[in-house]
Amino acid sequence: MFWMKLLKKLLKALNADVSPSEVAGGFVLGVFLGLSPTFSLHNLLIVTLIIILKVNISAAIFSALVFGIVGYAFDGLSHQLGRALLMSAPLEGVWSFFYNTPLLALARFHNTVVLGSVVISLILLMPMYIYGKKFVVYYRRDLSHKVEKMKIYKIVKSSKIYKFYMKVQKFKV
Amino acid sequence: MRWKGFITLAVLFALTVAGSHFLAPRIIQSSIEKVGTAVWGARVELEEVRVSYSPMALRLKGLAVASRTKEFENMMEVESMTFSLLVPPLLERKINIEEISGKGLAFGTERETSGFVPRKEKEKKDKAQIWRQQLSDWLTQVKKRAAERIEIPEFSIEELDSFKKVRQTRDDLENLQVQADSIKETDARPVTSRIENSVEDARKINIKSERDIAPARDKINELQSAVKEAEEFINDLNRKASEFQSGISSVIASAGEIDQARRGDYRSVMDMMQLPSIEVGDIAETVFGPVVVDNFMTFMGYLETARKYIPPRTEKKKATRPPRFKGEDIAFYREKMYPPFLIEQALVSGAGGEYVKFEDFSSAPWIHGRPAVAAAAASNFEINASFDRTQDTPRDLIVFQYRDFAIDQALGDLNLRAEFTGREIDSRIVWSGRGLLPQDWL
Repeated sequence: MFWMKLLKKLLKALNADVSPSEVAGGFVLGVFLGLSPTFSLHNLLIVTLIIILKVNISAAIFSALVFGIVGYAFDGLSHQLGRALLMSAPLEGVWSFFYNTPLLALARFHNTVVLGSVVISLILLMPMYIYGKKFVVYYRRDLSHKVEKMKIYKIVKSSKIYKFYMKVQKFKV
Repeated sequence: MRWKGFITLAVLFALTVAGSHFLAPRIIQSSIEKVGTAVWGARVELEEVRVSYSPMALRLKGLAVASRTKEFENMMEVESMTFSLLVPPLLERKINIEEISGKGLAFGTERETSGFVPRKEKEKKDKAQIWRQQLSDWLTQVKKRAAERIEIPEFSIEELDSFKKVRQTRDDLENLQVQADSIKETDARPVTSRIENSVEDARKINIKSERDIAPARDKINELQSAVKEAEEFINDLNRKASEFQSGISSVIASAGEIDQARRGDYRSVMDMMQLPSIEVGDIAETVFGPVVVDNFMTFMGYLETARKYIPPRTEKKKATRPPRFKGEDIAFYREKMYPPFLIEQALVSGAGGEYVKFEDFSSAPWIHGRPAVAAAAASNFEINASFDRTQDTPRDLIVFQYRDFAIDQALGDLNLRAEFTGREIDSRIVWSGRGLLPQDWL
């Protein structure tokens, strides 16, 4: 049911009533959540940003789930990148500062995967946002009617669960 | 900005702060009371707990630890206690207490409600009454026997086991002396000179004709005979050395049995005279009573536990984590390292001069770099201890004084000093009693 609800909200957001920036913003913040280990201090900050900024929450949850799975494939790269940065002599002062500052130490930037995944997320931030916005516009213009014709979309829409869910939603309103 | 989300978060934050402010003291109070009661075995109660966040501190008011033996008495009571916590270590999930201060420490205060924890337990005997009775019996026995004319049954010194053992040891020693003399007197020179001569003769063998063969054979036979004699000499010497060795072992064993035999003889002689035992252990239990001996043993048990749980300095090997999924923690130079648990300073004092003091108690003393120090004093006892785990070899020192404790109508003092260095123990226990014997005896 959660997936169904999420899919419905995401499709709704993609279709019309949410601005492309909000969807792309939510998607980008979800990438941060998905790529880095779940219990990190910076993830708390990201969740707070998702709640207080005008970004699409469904898009954020969707991308967090998708990149949570994709993130496992990125772990090796995150580890290598994080290790290279942590071992880099010119940056030693920065990491040492993070390591010795009580609150910042909780962010665990001295962990190779945490640092690597944050850096990868930062690298992906702008391209994801720009292409995310473009994708929403493209989806609304060219893709939405094609998706609606797709068998899987029809199956989902005509499924008993979906109908039942829609009925319940009506009662709820 | 999504104001709905912002307000929701703000409300959640406010509720969390308010919840922790109002609920935390109750949770802490209940935890201290429950755990304390379960560990101590009698009621541990608190009147009030307050938590302050700036500076981070925990304040306990009206801590009462009930006595385990007296139902309406507190073993200890503290008017108020403050625990000042260091915040930076808390962020690393480490508890470092900067200071514990307390006032109004009092022992043996009265309580209105029962301090016993309801439980199924064996019928408790009044230990104090038992030892008073025991001491009284012992004194009566000593007095009675001293007043009587002690008839010592006739016995010969030859019957004493210790005497027999001493005699046997002396005989063994004499035999050993004879064996040693025999080894000492053994002269190897004839054997060696015979071999030397035979070897010299054998070298001169020069067979040029048939006539030379017979004298050569004689010389070789002589050499063989000399070698055989030397072998017999060596075997004899080895046998004597082996006998001497076993003689030494026998003397050592006999000497070891002398003390055991002495104890046996002592017991049988005391039995013959029907006098109460004056062995150190028995006297300690009779004079101090089982309560004091029991308490002393309990104290030694606590001491052993303290020594056990203050870990020695050992380099812990870090577990190597698999880099995938979890990554690797890279350690940097730490300006300040905190041990997982630390009490920097604790002082709880009472109006009567009694106090309990702790300094530098840590679960990782090698990080803190200072030895743990504990001290406590009340009207008639004082204890000072230091547990040094900053070096590779643990060094502990315990000095304990128990003054003027009552033994029936007499008074006693106990002084203990124990120094532990690694596995070596250097200890000294001195006890003295005043007025143990009746005045008319002296």
